Amino acid sequence: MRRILLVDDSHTVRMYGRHLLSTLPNLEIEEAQNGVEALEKAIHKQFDLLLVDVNMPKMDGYTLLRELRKRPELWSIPAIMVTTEDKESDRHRAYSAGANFHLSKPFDAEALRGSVVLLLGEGA
Amino acid sequence: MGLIKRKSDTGEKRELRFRDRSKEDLLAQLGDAQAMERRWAARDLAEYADTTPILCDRLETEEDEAVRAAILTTLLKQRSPEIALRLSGILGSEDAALRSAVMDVLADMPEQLDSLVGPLLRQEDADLRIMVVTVVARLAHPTVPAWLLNVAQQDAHPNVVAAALEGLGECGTVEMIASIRAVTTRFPGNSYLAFTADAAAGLIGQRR
Amino acid sequence: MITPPDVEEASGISDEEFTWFQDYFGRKTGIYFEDNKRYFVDRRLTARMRATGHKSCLLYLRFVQFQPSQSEFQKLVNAMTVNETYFFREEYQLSALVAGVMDDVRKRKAPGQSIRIWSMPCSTGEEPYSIAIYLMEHWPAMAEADVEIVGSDINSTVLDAARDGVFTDYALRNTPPNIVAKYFKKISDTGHELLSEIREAITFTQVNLTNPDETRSYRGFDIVFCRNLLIYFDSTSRREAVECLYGALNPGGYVFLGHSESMSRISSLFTIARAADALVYQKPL
Repeated sequence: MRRILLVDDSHTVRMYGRHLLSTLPNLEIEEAQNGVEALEKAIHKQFDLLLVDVNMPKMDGYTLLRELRKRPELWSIPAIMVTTEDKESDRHRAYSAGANFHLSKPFDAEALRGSVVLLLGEGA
Repeated sequence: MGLIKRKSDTGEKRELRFRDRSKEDLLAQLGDAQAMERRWAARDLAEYADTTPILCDRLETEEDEAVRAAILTTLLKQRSPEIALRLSGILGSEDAALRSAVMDVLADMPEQLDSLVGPLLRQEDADLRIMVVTVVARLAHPTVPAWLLNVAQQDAHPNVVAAALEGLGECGTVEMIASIRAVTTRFPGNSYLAFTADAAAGLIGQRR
Repeated sequence: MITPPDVEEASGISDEEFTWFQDYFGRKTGIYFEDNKRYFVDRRLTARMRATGHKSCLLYLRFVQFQPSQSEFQKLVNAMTVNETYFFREEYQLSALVAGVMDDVRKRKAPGQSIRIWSMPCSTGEEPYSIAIYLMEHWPAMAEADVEIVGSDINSTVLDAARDGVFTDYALRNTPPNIVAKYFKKISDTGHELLSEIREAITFTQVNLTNPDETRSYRGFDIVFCRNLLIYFDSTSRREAVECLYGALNPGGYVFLGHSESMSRISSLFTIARAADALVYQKPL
């Protein structure tokens, strides 16, 4: 059973992410509304992958990733950064912050599933 | 050893020392090399409403998170339409953390933001409109559902519309369900919008 | 509070309305009312509906959601939360204190420097006294370290009671009998008086956490217990309170919030750490 944390302040985006990932087997999905909540959950429980939105209250996605990468017990968790645009500068920033992959919103179903499978596979 | 009662000056009101620093002193301290000094200056400038422009200027260049937070708390305490306008201008910043912090404070200024919502939602930049919609969705203001529905029905950019539909999921009314569903006809083939409209209608329906 | 006989006349609360309230209140405060708390919730919701002239729960909740001042939301929070205090409440946090937090703080102290703990709000004293006793019982380094505890509250009446240090069986219901015997003296049928050495070692002060003029001299603390207080503030006051806590702490200092509270709705100034079973918030070094 692999555990994924969906981090986005929008309830609907989280629902959509769940909906698209529901076809993948052996996945347990949890949610967080912002970077602070995500860190709290990640510290409390082990996750195999994080899906992180950029624009969130209290702590944005880039800051969340940098915080994760600072911590010895969390630094290697795979993370997909999600931005509202698909510019080169967004990708670059995502990777600099420590993302393993980058997607743009709204999710393309195949891109989302494919990248999740790929990153979870690497954790095996 | 163990539990001790040390005589410290905790609890003594230090009004005298506080009053020693004038507004000019505090403004100078706002530019101090030490973050802690800048932070105290930002806090103590709260009572000087005419320092708003300088505080906003400082906010745009301040890199220390704790100083930023203190400046924003002060601006929130001072709260004015002028502040709401300046802060909404900062939404265009490249700094995601700054945008996030500014959005938090704007969301707490519903009355000051009221007259700005219309013009802000007509800005050219779709990314900015998305941020404004996100702030509006978090506002405690009776016009929020109407603002969001208007965006869903009028905005040209599907991602902006999606953000409005997301907000309507949390605060829309039963009377809006038909209009919400109708929004998908504006962007046929956009499966995310269809999902969002459907989800919004569903969430609203659950609350009746 | 006397309940008017016709309180049920306001429309009953439907299951959907209860669910919406559960979700909304939970998201805003972190407090989720289980389904078995239905009666508790319905009574209080109905009372607030009456007080604000709403016959429909749906319309009342929308009113709460969209009122710019959020004053009714604050009243709703007050109505829904029962603020009780007793010795060793949320004991897992006291365990976390001795399991790592105190030692971490001590590492950064020079010889002779005391570790300073702030209990705010301290109410009638159960919290600061519990901290003191717990440290004496369970922290091995307590004998060598100097620990100073300050208890503060906005209300002077509770502070007077705290200084008196006399407690009922009820306040001690979560306290092991051997601890009661060791640290308290039974002075009446219902009263247990805490040993004077401990009573006199705690400094009690009156302060309003949301007033920067009052809080500015509160600095140099290593640990703050600020449990179940922030939830009662509106967003501006809450920000101010958190700024005060931040300024009151030394770098590396810790904040303990209440069991259902989280900084996630409040601030990103503090980093999150785990100590035993507790989540604690730390001011960056």
